[in-house]
Amino acid sequence: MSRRGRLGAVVAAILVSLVAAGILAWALPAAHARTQREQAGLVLQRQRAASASQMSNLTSQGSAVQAQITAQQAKNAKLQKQVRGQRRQIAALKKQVRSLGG
Amino acid sequence: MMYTVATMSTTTDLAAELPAAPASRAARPPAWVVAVVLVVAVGLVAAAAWATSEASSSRRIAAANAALRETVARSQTAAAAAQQTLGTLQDQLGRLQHAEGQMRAAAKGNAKQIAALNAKIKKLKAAQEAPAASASDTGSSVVVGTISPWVRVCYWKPNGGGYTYVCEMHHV
Repeated sequence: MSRRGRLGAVVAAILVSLVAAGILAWALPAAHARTQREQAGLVLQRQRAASASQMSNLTSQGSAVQAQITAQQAKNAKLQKQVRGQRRQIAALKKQVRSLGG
Repeated sequence: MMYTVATMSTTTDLAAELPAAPASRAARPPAWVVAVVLVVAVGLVAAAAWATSEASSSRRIAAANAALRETVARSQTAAAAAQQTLGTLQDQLGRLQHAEGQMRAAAKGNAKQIAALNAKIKKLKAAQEAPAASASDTGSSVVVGTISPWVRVCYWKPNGGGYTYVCEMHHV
């Protein structure tokens, strides 16, 4: 190979190396950024799943507590009725005691 | 003779044109240079295609992430509201349970009071219905008849807040 030919080969090799290095220098951060975005996406998907699960759990708990409240209200209403009846009975009995001279 | 001269003249002209051919062959680049240029070009095109695809993919991922972030934020807000609602409901249930305890205690006290009043009424009624002698002398025996050798003894026996008139025959 002539001297000119050797020079051309060196220049070509340098050119190819530069292009390859440029591609790598640009591609590697881009690939890294894409990987990071994908990982962030996975984290967000996990968060969404956790939130959905939490929401479902809270809804279920809320329904259960609501049912307990309804049952408790019914029980309290019954007790209140009983207590009112007892108070009326006490008033009547006191009246009867007074009428008997007690 | 004339033909020979003409031939020589033609040969001379062709020889004058000969140096032009090596000059055009030297201007053409060597094959390996062309190959390198082609490789570089193909590499650049591939890199550009890959870059475009990567950028598009990255944008798509970013958009999906933004949507996900928004969904997660909404979901977390809803979960916080649900948590607050659950707390309110649990407070309400606690108040109702406390009220139940109070009412149960009141019912128990009322039942005791009713029992006491009933006993008192029974006692008062018994006192009103009992014979004067026996009521004032509760528990003491009174001989009401004698059939020898038996004596009939009657008395008011206390019976759970009231009195029962009891007669017994005693052997003398």
